[in-house]
This record gives sequence, structure tokens and C-alpha cells, in this order.
Amino acid sequence: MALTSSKKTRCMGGSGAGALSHVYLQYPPFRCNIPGSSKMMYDDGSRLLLVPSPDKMFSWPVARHTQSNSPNVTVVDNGPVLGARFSLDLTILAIQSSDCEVSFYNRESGAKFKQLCRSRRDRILGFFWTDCPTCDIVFVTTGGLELFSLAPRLDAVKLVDVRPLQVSWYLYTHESRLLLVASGMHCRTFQCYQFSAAGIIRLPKFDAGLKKLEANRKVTIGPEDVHIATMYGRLYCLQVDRLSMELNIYRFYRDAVVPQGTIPVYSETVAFSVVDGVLLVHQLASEVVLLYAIYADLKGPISAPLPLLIRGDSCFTMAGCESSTESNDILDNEDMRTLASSESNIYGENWVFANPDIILDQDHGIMWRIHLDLEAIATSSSDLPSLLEFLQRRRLDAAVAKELSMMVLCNMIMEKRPLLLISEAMDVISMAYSQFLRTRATLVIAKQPSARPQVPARHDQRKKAGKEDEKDVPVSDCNTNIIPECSDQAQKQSENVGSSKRMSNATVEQCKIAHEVVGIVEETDESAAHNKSENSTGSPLSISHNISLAVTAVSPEEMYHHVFAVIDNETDVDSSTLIAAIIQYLRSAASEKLNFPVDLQLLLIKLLTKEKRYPELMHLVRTKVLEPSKEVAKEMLQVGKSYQPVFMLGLNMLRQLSLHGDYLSEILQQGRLLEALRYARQNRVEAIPPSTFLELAAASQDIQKLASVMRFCLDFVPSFETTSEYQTYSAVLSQQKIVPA
Amino acid sequence: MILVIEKRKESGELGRTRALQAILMEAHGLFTLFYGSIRALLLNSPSGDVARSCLQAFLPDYISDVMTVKRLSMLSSHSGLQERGTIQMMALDRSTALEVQSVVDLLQSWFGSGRIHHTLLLFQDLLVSTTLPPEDAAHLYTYARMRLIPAAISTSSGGHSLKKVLSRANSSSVHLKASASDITAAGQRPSPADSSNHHSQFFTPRPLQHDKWWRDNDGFLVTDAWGVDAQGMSAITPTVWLQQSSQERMKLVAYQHKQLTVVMLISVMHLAPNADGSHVLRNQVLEKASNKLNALEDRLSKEWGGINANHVPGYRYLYVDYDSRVSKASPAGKIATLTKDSLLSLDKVRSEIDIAKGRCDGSGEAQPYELETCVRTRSNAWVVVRIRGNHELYLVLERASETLLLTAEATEKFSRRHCDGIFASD
Repeated sequence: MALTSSKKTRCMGGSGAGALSHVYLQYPPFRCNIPGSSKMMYDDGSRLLLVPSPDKMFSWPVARHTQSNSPNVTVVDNGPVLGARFSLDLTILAIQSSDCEVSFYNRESGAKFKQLCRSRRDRILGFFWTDCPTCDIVFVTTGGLELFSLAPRLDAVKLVDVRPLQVSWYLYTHESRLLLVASGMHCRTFQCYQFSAAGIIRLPKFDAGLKKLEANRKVTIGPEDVHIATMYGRLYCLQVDRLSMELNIYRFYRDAVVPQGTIPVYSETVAFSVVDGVLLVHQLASEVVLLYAIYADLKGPISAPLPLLIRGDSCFTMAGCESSTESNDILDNEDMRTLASSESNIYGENWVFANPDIILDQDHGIMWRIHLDLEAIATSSSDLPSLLEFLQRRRLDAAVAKELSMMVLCNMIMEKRPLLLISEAMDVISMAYSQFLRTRATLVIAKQPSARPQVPARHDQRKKAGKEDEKDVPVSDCNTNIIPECSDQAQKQSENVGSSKRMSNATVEQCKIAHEVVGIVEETDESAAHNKSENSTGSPLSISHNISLAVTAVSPEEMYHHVFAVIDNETDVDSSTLIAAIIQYLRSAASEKLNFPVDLQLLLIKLLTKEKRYPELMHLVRTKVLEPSKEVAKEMLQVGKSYQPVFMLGLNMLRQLSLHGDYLSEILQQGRLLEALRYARQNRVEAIPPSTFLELAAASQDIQKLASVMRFCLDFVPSFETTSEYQTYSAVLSQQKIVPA
Repeated sequence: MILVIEKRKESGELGRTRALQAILMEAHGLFTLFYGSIRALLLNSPSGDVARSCLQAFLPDYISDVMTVKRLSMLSSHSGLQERGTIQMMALDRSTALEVQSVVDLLQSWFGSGRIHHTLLLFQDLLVSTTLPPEDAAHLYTYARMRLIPAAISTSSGGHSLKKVLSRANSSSVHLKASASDITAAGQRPSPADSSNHHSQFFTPRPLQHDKWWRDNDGFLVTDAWGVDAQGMSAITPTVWLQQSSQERMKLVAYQHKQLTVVMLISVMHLAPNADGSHVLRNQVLEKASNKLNALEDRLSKEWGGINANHVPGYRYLYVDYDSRVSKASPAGKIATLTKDSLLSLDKVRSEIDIAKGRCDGSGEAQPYELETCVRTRSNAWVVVRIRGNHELYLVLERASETLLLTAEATEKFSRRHCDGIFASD
């Protein structure tokens, strides 16, 4: 089986064509050549790349796989730009121009306004837009959080709330809606807030984990040591302990922050990216990347450390502009030339790793996006069930992951891997598919449009375009659906805790319960966020991505067509191996209550017949592994020609299914004429004309039989006397002097 | 092939000729299972003494099993709703059936293809799954039921076998002397070191002797019925002959966990000469399969419907499928509630049908034999017989309906629900 979308990857520059990597930067990168600009900013809330120039702000939407197009330009006042973010509906651009002031520019009405921070003594460290119901924009100052909401006419902001807090520095990612604030002398105490659509949730404080306390006493933790990562819809905090060369991982729950363990780091400085839920730890000193799939528990890296490479995707460029190949080539060459100077600069000094998978090369004005090379990971992995699990969890390159999964399965069976391994692999596949069915069912329910009074009215006002409407509804829907249940449970839980007077320390078990509850919220958040991103980016490429979002899971039908049938067509495959593999698959599918495709059942019958394992075949029919169906019954009748009991089973199956026509023609073929007549009368089968019976009776040379059939027809076929058959056959009978009255 | 010892009919005793024949069939089946066909025995040693000694060893053991104090024990009143030589299957749900099949496949895969040729899985005395063809499966199942299942093993844990186990545990030599003297007492020579292929020529195994199987600590079943090896260190792995599938000799290894008994057959031909594959097998089962088997046992015991699982209220029935040699019947406890009159009537009807069937077989008609009978007995019960080719259904309805119509309806209902509608009358 060949990968249909097999990537003809070519490696650029000096890294050579044969170089291996598990992650790569997609060539060509996004470039911006804005004269007079020195800085690139990625706004993860609006998913825009912002580049300020003295009096303008250029912005490009950043979507997966999209090429650079002309930027949006917003005219702004001349002045320094310390930070800039677009509001989530992209109407208002906020620019932090000094330590104490943020300017707002309404892109649609052209209105301008400013907001100072509340106290003169505090400095604004940064700000972000949020979609939580209580406020629209949050300033993080050295004195705490200031929550503002937009005035109805979008011409001012109004202070809603203040949370006094000592802040040294902060981190915020829109993906997680999580704000992490560091305080304390060495910035080791972290306080987190989640600005979710359900409101603001304050998470318990926690301290940075540092081993070697003595040596670490004077070490101050900076924002570059801490990272908020969203992996598989779960929120984690990653914190580097430089002295012991370890990465501490914490997971956020609604009411707890639980250490998950540590993984070693091999470089003084590390950077993080998250691509499709996979954590990439860039070991900057050694210039290699380690990949971790943190799902159930901490395991080692999923692959060997390999460098980050730049790759061009020839398929992509060709498909992109087939009409203008020549000009494209020129452009390509140009790109290559300009790249040549900067390309040796992987992990350059001025690389900024933006959340989750964006890299900004400030020196060259280049934006890279990191991609996983699933094929490379698949070929280098030896633990196949885990590999399949990994592939099944892909959401971005779902189509590739799916094909790889099926290919891995095919190879496993053809290479006669141990059956236990195959069995585990089948479990993974079936579980992923039933998981997919379940999430699809819940999504369908959540997407059903319904008027929700719970959604705040203010929220509605802000929605301008219909598109905006679409993208917001799932979020609020999911949350309004889930939250009450969740808070109920949380309440119960706290009651329990209160009664047992162990309020102070949340035990691990409680966290596990909390995990179940919050996990749901988080995951729906995540899927809603997915929806959002897909709806808001209108390019056709991301729409196809939208479709493929669903399809990593391999359905039973696909298992048949792309795995079992393919193997069956190979010449040198041992049928008993294939039978065993199919049985393993059916077992896993049955335990997940998936249906068995008829084609697969037929294949199983065929293989068992080939091996002459009739008793097992019959056992499978009796235990309903091979479900009664017309196709199965027909196949059994076919097989039964060489083994009578199977034939009988098939015949009985036809009868059970009330396939009267087929049943009758089968027993007529056997010459069981009278039985067929009785059956036809009992079940009122009228499809078979009397002449068929009469001909068969006449052909049997049994005059008595013919007389019986005649009698039957006279009694039960209306106006039989008038037909020509009556004339013909009564003549035959009268010759024998047996004339039915 | 084997002479019939006919027993005079006492007054009121039940006994169809077919039922008696079934005993002989079973005896013959078991004999060929242990020793191979008599024809082969005679071919190998034309003088016939091997065949004779085999028969001499086998028949008394078998008859002692069938007879209880000079009476054929099987000729009790229940025999009308029982069919000798058939397999009782455990009713499995689809996913459990697949689980079983998957464990069996795993088991076979761990020893390379061709090593374990067949498996037979029993839960208590019910067959769960087998890869054997019906005939061989029926023979091996009969044997397993007689000697291998937990009930058969545990009942034999009297003083004798306890002593054996003890002596095995302490010093094997004591036990070996005992078993050697057993053998000489039986008029046989203990086996010298020989090629295992012709082992049975020197030592006649007595597989049906009582109390010859016991369970080792690791869960494997051991017997010395097939003798002990030359050094006298361990018992020889039993071998059986398969008739239907390959006419081949197989080593029999049995593993037991609680109520689950797994019988594995290893082809002797695929083993290196003098190599005893069972040791390798044992280690691998313990290493890899025991977890799976334990889990399977758990699952089966959860699914097992109890001793009355097959009971259908209001019906006393026997359903036989001669194609796969499987029968399903009301539990014995429920059959015992029938009046003797009904059972006698059933017995009479069955013997009539046997004769009719015999006639039909003789005529060599191509069409499957079909029959429907409803008989009203003296005690106002109904005896219903329906035959469709190789499928037979016998029903005794005592407190059922008064009319023939209602009886027919009740039969239809039963057929639909419990026999996949095979016996529907049209």
C-alpha cells in the first residue's frame, strides 16, 4: 500500500537530501518586508501577525498552510509600540504605547481612544483580550489585574474590576485562556487565572519546583523558563529547572495544580512548541528537538533527538500555482537565495517561539511554522501499538495519520508480527473509532442551534457578522451545557471534603475526580476552539482541514478496504495469519460495540473455507459473529456446496431473514417441490409463477408429484383453470388417466 | 468391530437399541482416540497381539465406567432426553465468543504455526470452543468430560491420588516404584527408552483408569496413564490419534485454571524425535498465556448461566445437531420432574423413529429426512418430535396445552427462540 499523498520532500540548503528529522519548518516561510519595521509580533488571540511601522500597523492572518497575501493596514499614531493585540472580533486594535497607557483604534469606525492604568505607581506589563463574560480586555500591571469592558458604542473602555496582586512578570496564552502570574522575590510563586467563557477561575497558588535548593537559592525564574502548554485539550505548565537540567510538568485542574513529573533537558536553554498536542522541546544548545506525547502518563520521548530541518513541499507549490509555473520558479529561486544566508541560522539568536507552533525570526523578518513529519516518526518507531495510538490522536494531518495507521497495520500483519502486538494495535484502532463516534455525537448535539437565554445579552451585541455568530455559538453552547453539571460535582466534592475536614490539602484522588470533571470542560473548550479557528479562517485549505479533522479514526469499512482486502490481494500471505488478525479486529470492534462490515464477514468466510476450517466457520455463525444477512447466507450456500452442514446453516439463515424468494429457489433447486409449495403458501410468496412448480414437477417424471402440484394450483391459485399451463399439464395427466377434478 | 454384550431387558426398563449402539460408538471412538484405528494396529502387527492387548486394557476400564453394579447406568429414565456422544456447548455471547477465539489464536501463535494444532476449551463440563472437526471434537470432549474437567479431577482426590501427589512432591522414586508395579500387575512391561513413535507397542496406556490425572501446582494436568519415561523422572505426555482431521498422532497437554480446562494438541510429526515439546509449551503458557486464560475464566464464569442455564420453563427438551455433534437439553434436575409414563412414551416414540430413520438411511434417498410427530400420552402429556435432516428436536410437554393446535404452537415458539427456527413447519 502506498501513501497516496506521499510527500516528495526536498531538503533545502546544506542539510542534504538524506537528512532525517521528525519535525520540519515548512518552506517557503512567510516573509514580511516592511521598511522601517524592526519587530514582528504574533497575536495568538486573533491569530494575526502584527508588524508595526512608524505610523501603520500591518497585520496578516496566520492560518496553517496559507501563503502571504496583502496585509491589512491600520493607521496608528506615531509612537513606540510595546505590545499590540487585536480584539477577538478583529475590530479594535489595542497598542500599548508606554508603561501606563494603551491606545485603542477602531478599525471600522476609525474611532481612537486611550486608557491609562489605574494607579500612577504601577506599570503596565501587558494586556490581552478575552472572551470571558465579565470583561473584554485585561491589563496586567505590576500592581495586579485591571479588568475593562468595552462601552456599547465601542468608543471607550470602562473599568469593571481590579484584582490587586504583586506581579513580577506574567504569561498568557489565548489557547488556554490561562494567565500565569509570577510573584515573590525570585519569582517562584505562580498564581493562575483562567478567563474562560464560564467566568474567571482562580487556581490555587503553587511554587516552582527546584531541586538542589541550596544552589538554587539565588536563582530567579524568568518568563523564558516557564511555558503554558495546551496538549490534547489539557493545560500544563512547563517549568525549567536549569541547575538540575530538568523540566517540571504541572497539570492544571480546576481546583488543583498537580505535578506530573519531570523530563530531562539536555541544554541550558530550551524552547517549547506544541504541534498538534505534541510537545516539542527544542534543545537550543545542541540544536535538536525532542518530541513528547504527554497523554496518560509521562513517557520518554517518542523519537530519537533529531535536528529541525527546513523542507519545501514540491506538491504544495505545484498545486498552488500550476498556471504560472515559470514565474513561480523564479520566485522559488529568489526565495532560495535569500534563504541561503539565513538558513544556517536555525535556532538563531533572535528566534522567538510563539505559542503554539510559530517561530518568528526577527532578524530576517521570517515567520516559520513547525510541522510534524508523521511519516518519519512512523518509520522510526518500533513500538507499533504506541505509534498507532500516537497517529490516531493526530488532528492536523489527520488524513496522513490515517493512511499511515492503515499502512502500519498492513505491514504488521504481512510481516507476521506477534499476534499479541496485532491484538493491541487493533484495540487502539477500535477504541479511537468509537471515541470518534462518541465525540461526533456530542458535537452534533452541541451544534444544534437553539436559543439560549443564558448567553449574556452584551455578548450578542458585540457580534457583528454572521460569521462571528457561528463561531461563538459552539463555545457558549458547550459551556452552558457542561458547566452546571461540573459545578454540581465540584460542590458535592467540596462538601465531601468539608465533612471529612481535610479541606486544606487536596489529595491525589480528589484531583483525579476533578480531572474527570474539568477534563470535559477543557476538552469541549478545545474542540470549540478548533471550530472557531476553522470558521474564522476562510481559505479552502483549512476547510479541507476541517473535514479531515474527523477522520483519523479508521472505520470498520475502511479497515476492510484498506487493510484486510489489500492483504488478501497479496499473493504470499498466509490465510491463517490473516484470519487471526481479522478475529483480533472483530474482537476489539465487538468490545467497542462497532458493527462488522459485511464485506469483512464475507472475507472471513472465504478465508476459513480456503483453510477448510468449516467447524470454526459454523461456530462463528452460531455465535452471531457472522451476522445473518443475505450476503452471508449466499456465501454460506456457495461454501456449502463442498460441506453440507454449512449449506444447511446458510439455508436456514435465508429462512430466518424471511428472504422467501431466495429460500424457495434454493429448495426448488434441491427438488424439494412439495415443501416449497407449502412454504410458499404459508408465507404468501407470490413471486414464483405456478408454471415453475409445474415444470419442475413434470421434469421429475413423478406423475404423483405433478398431480399434487396441479391440485395445489387449482386450490390456491385464483382462476388457474383459465391458464395455458392448466391445459398443458392436465393433458399430460389425462394421458396417465389421473385427472384432477 | 467390537462384540456387543447385550443385556436382557428387565420389565419396565428403558433401552433403545440406538442408545445401546451409542455406547458402542462411544467406546469405539475413545478406543481409536487412544490407540488409533484397529485396522492400523493390525497393519502394524499382523499377529494382532497389540490390538488385543489394547482392547484388553481398554474395555474393562470403559465398562467399569458405564456400568454401575451390573446395570448399564446410562439406561436410566432420563436417557430419552439425552444423546450419548454429543457435545454440550456453552452458550456464548458474540463478544465473548470472539474473546475466546482470540485467546485461542494467541495461544496458538505463541508457539509458532504448526506447533499447537488444535485446542479444545472447556468451561466446567461444557465445551466453549474447539478447532477440531466434529467427530474428533466429540471423542476428545467425551474423554475430557470423563477425566479432565475439574469435577473429574477433584472427585479423584481420594487417599490414592493424594498419596501420589505427596509421593511426587517428596521423592519421585517411591511413586515410580508404585506405578511400575501397577504396570507389571497389569501384565505389561514398563517401557524401555524407545523412540516415542512406537511407544504404544511396548506399553499399553490405560487412559480410562480412574484417579490417574492430577493437577500440578502450575495448573497443568499430569497423568501417568501413558507411563513414565526411561529415567523414571516424569510422566510421559499422553498422545492421542485424530481420525477425522489428519489421521495423525498428537501430544495432549492440558492446562486448568479453576473451571477452565484447555486441551492443546501438538503434532508429534512436527516435533524433533525424542523432543518433548510439552515442556517448552508449559513454560510459554505460564509465561504469556496464563493471564489471558485467567481473565477468560473470569469472564466465562460471569457469563455462565448456572446449572439450569439451558432450562426453558414449561419445556423438557432435547435438541441434537448431528452435523456438528452438538446437543442441548433440559438440565437433568428438570428432566427428573417428568412422570415415568411420559418418559416411557418418549422412549417408545424414539425407538419407533430410530427404526424409521434406519429404513430411510438404507434407502439411500438424497433428500434430508424430515418428520413431525405429536403423540398424546396416557398421562395427558404431549411428546413432540421434529426432525429436519440432521437436526432433531424432542419435546415433552406435560402441563402444556390440551389441544394439538396449542402444542404445535408451543413447539413453533420453542423452535423460533431456541433453535433458530430450524424446526418451523410450513
